[in-house]
Amino acid sequence: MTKYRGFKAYATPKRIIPLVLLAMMLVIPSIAKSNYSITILVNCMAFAIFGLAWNIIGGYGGQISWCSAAFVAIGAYTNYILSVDYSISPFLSMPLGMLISYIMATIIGYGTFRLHGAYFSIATIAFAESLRSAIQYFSGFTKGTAGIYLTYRGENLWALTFSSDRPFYYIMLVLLVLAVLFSYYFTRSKTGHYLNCIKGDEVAAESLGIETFMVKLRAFQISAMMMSIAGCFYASFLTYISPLSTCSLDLSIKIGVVAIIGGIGTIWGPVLGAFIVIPLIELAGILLGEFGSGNLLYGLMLILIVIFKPKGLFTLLTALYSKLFPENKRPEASEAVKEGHYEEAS
Amino acid sequence: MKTWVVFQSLINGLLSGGVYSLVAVGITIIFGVMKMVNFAAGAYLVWGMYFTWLWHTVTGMSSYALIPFVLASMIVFGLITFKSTIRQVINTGDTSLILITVGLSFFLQNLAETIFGTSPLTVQSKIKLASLKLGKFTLGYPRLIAFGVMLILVLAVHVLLNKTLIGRSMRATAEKPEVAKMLGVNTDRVYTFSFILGVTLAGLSGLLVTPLYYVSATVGNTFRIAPLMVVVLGGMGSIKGALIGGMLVGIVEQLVSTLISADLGTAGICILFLVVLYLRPRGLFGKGERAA
Repeated sequence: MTKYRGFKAYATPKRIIPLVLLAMMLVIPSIAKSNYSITILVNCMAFAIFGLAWNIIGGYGGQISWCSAAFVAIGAYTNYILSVDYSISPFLSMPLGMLISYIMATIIGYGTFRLHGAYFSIATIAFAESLRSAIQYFSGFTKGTAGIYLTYRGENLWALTFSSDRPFYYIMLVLLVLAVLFSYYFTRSKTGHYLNCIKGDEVAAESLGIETFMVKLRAFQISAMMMSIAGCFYASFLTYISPLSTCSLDLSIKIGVVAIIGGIGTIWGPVLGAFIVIPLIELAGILLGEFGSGNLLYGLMLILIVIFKPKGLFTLLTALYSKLFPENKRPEASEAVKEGHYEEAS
Repeated sequence: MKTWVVFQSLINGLLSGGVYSLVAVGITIIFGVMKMVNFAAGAYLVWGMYFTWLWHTVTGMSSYALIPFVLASMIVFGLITFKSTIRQVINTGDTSLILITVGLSFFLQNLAETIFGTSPLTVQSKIKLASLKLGKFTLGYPRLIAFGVMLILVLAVHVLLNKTLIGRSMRATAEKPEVAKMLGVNTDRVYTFSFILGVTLAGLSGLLVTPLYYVSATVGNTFRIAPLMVVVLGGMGSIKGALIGGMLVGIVEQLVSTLISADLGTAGICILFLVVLYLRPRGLFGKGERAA
């Protein structure tokens, strides 16, 4: 570490704003009256985590994956099957879900990461579809299309069953903080930097001696495991899962849209995206009351964002930030460069 | 008994694979020229079905007589959607093309559902249940006609690509857009033309399957995945590959569905796809993509 630069140097708005937001999030449940708003917020946080996990391979690596839902389903189904049939805690089934996701990600990645371009995207769709039909076929222990209901075991943290959504609010908040921190350290890691190079120019990265295949594979494995952890907890929150609700292309696209709307390849992008998209869809559902309208909006948002703001809405916030704190930014940046620390602009 | 089932599902698969081939030829033409994978082909197929239904309710003609009407509708529809969306991001790289076509697929399919409702509609026709008996086997007329029309259309596309000026421009653009542009090819117009050609083939496939499926947006889910698998199986950009890959996929799907379970039909093709991707990453007839 470099020498202590005084409190003011560390208490930059960039560091303070997230802490203020976190404090707000901690206070909200005690202010909020309705359970409904808590439910929406839990959904927002869950999708923020999904978006962050998608971002690892889709955002930082530029490899667009459409099988997020498959890993969510793996997490969800290992949780439900073990907890309903054998009353094993989700905390114990979570590692198993991670392991299965890891293996699956390796199988898909191994076949497709040797190729460039859209092969990976197509293969992910293929994988998610075959997993869904497998869940429907092996109805002996997945209950097929009927889906599974979670058995209520009283107010029980170990079994993750609660009578209200408030405990899930805090659980998701903890997970979200962990996911943000993990994403932050991932971008600073060797794999993160390599992945950034691959996104910039894959052939150039390869010619510089980066093992693009292994780097992409590792990022995909990490993304898959993160997704299945989030899926495991999210499933407990839902109390009912079915192949359609957890393993559909619709869900995968929603997860991708959340991350892309917020800002592809940024840490706060998926979080911002989730807190914009999920309430918006909820509102649209209330106003329009149509079955297809929610999905229609997802498609429309994806088209509009790619055409008009391909870097996502987070760029609006960073622009606002540099307008609000212009004098803070410049000296800090030059100081950082002097000391050999390079901080990303985003 | 068992061999009869196998042969019957072979025939059914071959015929239903014809529709996959047609959609896949559309995707492969777009890919060949623009290097863009059109994830929205299934949604265009759905719109083709709805256009057939609309024209059928307006004119009362049978679905095959409506081919010119649906063709014209698809051209206009394809032109509008292309100009308003994909045209805007055509030069911004692979990732945005993947995102925008997936967005388009999601949007168009749900738009159809919002406009026409979720309840399935039907296009009446006399030959719906008619079938040709060949010894012990039955061949449904709708599938047989779909297969025949598919072959004619693919042949027409082949002639178009090899014998006409626009076809030559398309092949030149596929080879190297910069050089084609220098030699006076209007690549912009070629992109527009090939996209419209691709989605029109998907729309006509929609027309061809109206006697087989209810007209409903969920049909798009069936045709969203299989044609993509076909294109990769056959080799991206290869029309022969798309043609043969489609039939292969159709046969595998039917065999798995009838011999094991209807639930696993999709899983069957996906596993076939992953296996081929492992063994022959460029597909069965692929020449391979140019790196960098």
